[in-house]
Amino acid sequence: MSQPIIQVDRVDKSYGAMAPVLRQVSLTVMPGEFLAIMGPSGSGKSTFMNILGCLDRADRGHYYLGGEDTTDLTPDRAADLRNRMLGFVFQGFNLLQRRSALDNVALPMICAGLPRSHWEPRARELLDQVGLSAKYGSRPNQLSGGQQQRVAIARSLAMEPPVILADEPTGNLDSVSSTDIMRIIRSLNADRGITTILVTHEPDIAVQAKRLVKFKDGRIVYDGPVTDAGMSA
Amino acid sequence: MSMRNSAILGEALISMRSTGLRTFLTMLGIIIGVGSVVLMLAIGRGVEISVRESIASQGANLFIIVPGATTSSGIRSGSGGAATLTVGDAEELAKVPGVTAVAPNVGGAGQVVYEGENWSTSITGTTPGFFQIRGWTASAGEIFDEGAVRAAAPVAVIGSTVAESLFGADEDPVGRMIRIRNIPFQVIGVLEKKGQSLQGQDQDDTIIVPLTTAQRRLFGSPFPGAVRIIFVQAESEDVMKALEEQMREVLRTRHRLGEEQDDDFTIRDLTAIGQTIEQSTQAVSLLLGAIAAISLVVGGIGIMNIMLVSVTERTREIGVRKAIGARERDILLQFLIESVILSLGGGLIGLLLGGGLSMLIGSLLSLPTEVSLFSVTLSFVVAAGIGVFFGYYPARQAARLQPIEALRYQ
Repeated sequence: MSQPIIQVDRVDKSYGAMAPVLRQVSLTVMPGEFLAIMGPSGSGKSTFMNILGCLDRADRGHYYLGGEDTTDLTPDRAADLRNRMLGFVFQGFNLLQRRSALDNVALPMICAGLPRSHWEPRARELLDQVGLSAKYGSRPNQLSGGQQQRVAIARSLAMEPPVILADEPTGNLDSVSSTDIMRIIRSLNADRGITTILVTHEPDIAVQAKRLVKFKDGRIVYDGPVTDAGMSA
Repeated sequence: MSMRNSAILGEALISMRSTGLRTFLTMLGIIIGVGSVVLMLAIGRGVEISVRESIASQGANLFIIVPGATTSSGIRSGSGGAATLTVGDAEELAKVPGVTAVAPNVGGAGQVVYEGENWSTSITGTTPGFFQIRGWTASAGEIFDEGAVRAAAPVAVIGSTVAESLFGADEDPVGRMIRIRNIPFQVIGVLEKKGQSLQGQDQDDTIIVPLTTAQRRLFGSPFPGAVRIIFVQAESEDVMKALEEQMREVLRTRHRLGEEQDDDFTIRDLTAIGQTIEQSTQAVSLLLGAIAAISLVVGGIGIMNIMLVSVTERTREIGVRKAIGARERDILLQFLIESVILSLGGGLIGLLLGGGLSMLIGSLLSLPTEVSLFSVTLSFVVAAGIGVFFGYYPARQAARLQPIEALRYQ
């Protein structure tokens, strides 16, 4: 029996005097799982993703990532943890505009202090894997939305993280690109065994996951297999 | 687990290149600031040097003693109006310890004639000590010696302006006979060029003859032995204050002045006057430098301004970098390096520009402008300091951005 890769234990989060955003949320994810997180806006799913991404910190409770307690990390330790453990795929791609696709993919490796002799071949290999062999030198504004998201996926894989966090990865894409991106994400999980957590509000995206978690008013109201009953919970 | 310094430098250079015009305009503030500091210091230094040279050309550690004012029938003459100083005074002053040379002078204006040419100039009769005191040597021929003074020899040493006026460029004046106030003299030497005095007089427009010759043949005086002026050189700057008092005592005793009587002579300490002039030129050049330094500070504020704008513009980029693992140090250094490159680059260009302009102005005004090692060092240290000082705050703002805040920023 392996250790959970992600273990969230009774986490609370609120901003200022407003109603709490997360109340006593607990979640355990085993390596290799593929989760879809759904919920109306304001349900707390984005805040939860930020805590999973070590971008934000819980008020109370604990979050263990790969067995390490993230509660009291300094900003630099958190940055190192993100670099090593997590790959981010954002709705808005978040590529550096004035850099080539190759430089963008290399960024996590440059941040980790790897030499060019190491990151350059690796970045090429990653772009090859997402089907952008011809686009090494292209700037984000020379690429389509789908291509930009593929660069972002290649970037998220640069440090071979065990976990990928994808926040509405198809939210800005047309249906063709969307299908394309979801195929890549599915294969990351199926072929490489990367734990994948995906936030979406589209049921036909969510059904591609293996486990569904629904948020409402800061609580998890459904956690189980992807079924119609779960969708409508 | 931290970015390599070379990678951080590379990032800084790329982002500066992508905003080329803005980078240049920001630098311009520093370029103008450093350039004007360098220029002002160089000009100030040039003025100082030229003032010092003029003072040195008068002679080092020099006293000038002139006769004082006299009152006759209630009418006071001006300074130098009385004939109270004599050759005897000069001989006595030469015996005061610490005095290295004494030169009593008589003189006046006179017409000089050589063949068809004639020229009006000032004629000085003095002793060989005069050449020593003024630090003046002959560029052709020689100067006269004590023997010429004792013998009242009809010989003359002429300034370069006189030489040019009478003989032109081609003829060698040495050995020629000229007539000064219609008395024949043999030219035995031409003096080295000295240029303008502090008062703007041409010091080379002069003829020097032995004191005795001048007294007997050129300037007959109702007071035989009276001199117009006595130059005294002290052995060093340190003894000048004490020496001035000693000389005053000697002269008062020789002139039999009572306790209640004023001096009938005036002792001027040229070195002290020179120092005063030098101090005031230094003060002016410092003032110019300070005004220029203000523009440097304005340039620094320009850098800070642009860096703050840049941090705001790149908030999202900073968020992305942090999300994928950039540490605070990486972000801080990247922005700090940018501002230091801006200011050092501006400093270097400003230095070259200021140095070039100061050479140009120096040659236009024939001023010995000088870009000193001091001003080069100063401008670099100040430019780097401005980069760090005005860049630190924006860089820290960037480094401390919360990644979620930065990622949310539109």
